[in-house]
Amino acid sequence: MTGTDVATGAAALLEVSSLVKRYGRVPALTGVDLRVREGSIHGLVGTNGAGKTTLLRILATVLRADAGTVRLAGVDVLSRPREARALFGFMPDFFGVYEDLSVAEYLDFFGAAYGLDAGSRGERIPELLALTHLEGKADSDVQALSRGMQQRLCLARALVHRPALLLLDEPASGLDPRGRAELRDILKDLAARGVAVLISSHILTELADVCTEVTIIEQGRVIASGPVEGIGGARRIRTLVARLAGDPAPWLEIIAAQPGVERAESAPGGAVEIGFAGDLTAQTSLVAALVGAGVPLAALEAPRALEEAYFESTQGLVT
Amino acid sequence: MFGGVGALLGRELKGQVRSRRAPATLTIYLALMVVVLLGSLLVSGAASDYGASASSGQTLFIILAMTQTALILLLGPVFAAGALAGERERQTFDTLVSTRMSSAGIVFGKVSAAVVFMVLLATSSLPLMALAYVYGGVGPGTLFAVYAWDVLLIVWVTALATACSSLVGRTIWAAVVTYVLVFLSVFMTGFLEVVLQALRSSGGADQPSLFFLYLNPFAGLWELAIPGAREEIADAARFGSFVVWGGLWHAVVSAVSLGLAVWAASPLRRLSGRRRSLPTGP
Repeated sequence: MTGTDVATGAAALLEVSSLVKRYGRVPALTGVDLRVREGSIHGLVGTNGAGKTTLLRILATVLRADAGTVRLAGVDVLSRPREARALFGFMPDFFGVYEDLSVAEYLDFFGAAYGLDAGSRGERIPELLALTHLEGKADSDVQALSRGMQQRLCLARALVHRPALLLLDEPASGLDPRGRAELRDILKDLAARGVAVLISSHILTELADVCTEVTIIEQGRVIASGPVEGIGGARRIRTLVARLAGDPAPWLEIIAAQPGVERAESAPGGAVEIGFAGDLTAQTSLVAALVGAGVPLAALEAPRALEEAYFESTQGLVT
Repeated sequence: MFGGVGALLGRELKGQVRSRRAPATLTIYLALMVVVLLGSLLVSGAASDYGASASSGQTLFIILAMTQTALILLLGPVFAAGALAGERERQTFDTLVSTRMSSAGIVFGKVSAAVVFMVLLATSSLPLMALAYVYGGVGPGTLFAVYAWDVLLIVWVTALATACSSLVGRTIWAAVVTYVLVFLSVFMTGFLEVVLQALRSSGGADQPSLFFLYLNPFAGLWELAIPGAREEIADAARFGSFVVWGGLWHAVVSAVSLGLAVWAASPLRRLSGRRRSLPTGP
């Protein structure tokens, strides 16, 4: 029993409604609503203290909610936590590992903790090692793994029981660029296999690269939620960066005169920053118009759509 | 309810065996037992006395049994105080409780591992205890009864330490609180019994109740290990056998401690019946 998203037609795997959590008198979540579709990668964006970790810990049944409902594949997570635990895998922001075990023993232990029989665990462990690029490490001591490998091992642990939803709290923190790229690839692979992912991160460009949907949360409430393109595209003015062959100064007036362009200013590195009102179709027309007007356009990028949407949405609320 | 206990028990025992703490503890334990054994033999002169009587064997056995029980009470908290506090300190607690294992399963897995290791430790001193046979005066029934009492105390002290571990955030504090409770059980009960006797004597009472000794972990051992003690206790103590009532007391404390540990290990323990709906708007 899952709800269906009216806009996309896809089934909502996770439905959070009016979720409230207080720490004493301090509100952490004040009526959060959230829907995560099957097979989507849903980003959770917010400043430190916005409520991301609190939300994920409640969803992971390791923290009590004060009010609200959470349904995961039809299961009431707050009243039937043990049943819900079979449906999700959780990777907390700070986690330790059992350093006295080998990689295979670690995964085998958690497989048993999720109720898998020995045969299933024997089949599942090589699959997980391959998925998380830890082949050949089965007999290595967990303590001998690098930080990035331990991060991937923890991801493998969260997947050991084939959950429908993966809850990841800042999984990329502490990883080097290569580790982050590998994590992105793994998440895309998982989404292609139908696993929904709810991932929190501070690194907005990374979420923009990997997420299909995003929810912006601040001071314990959701202030924007939807497809990444939708959140960026719905804004009235977006910032585009045009890279020209040669000095951009003579072209600024011509660029500023194009339809939809609100402003055109020189930017560092010989680029032009364009304030543009329009969707992706209008952006395509802008490219054609600039080329038609003789502008030596080498590239037109919208690299910070999600970042801008985030800052615009949270303007004045960040303390 | 107890799914995954076997897996957790296996994981804990692997951890114990692979750590330096286990062989170090075993070595220290056996070394202390040997020192006590040799010291007893030298002091009593039984080592060079070929005609040593059965009472020498009994004395040796009692000293070794008392030492073993004392070591159990000293070492039990070392192995159980980190049961849940250690998971929190290692930041593995959330990943463990978000599996399908229940809090009861986690607690029983932890306690089982500590009990198994402590029983193995106690069993390792069997050859030393068997030396008492050389001198006679101790039957296999007495030996078995003393070991059974020690197993009960192992469960008691590990359950206490696990409850402290679950309720107190840090391993070191869990161990300290457990040692305080053990100290109170061993010494404070004796002190209170002396005070009680003095009060009763001044009031003209003729039969001592020995009430506080029922709470003392050594009282049952005394009854089991010392020949004739059972009859003396039956005559002197108002409520009868220390083994029966003291054993029941320690079993109840163990059960309550485990219940507390399970309650405190549940991340949603304050949830029951208190989740409320959001107030609806007009």
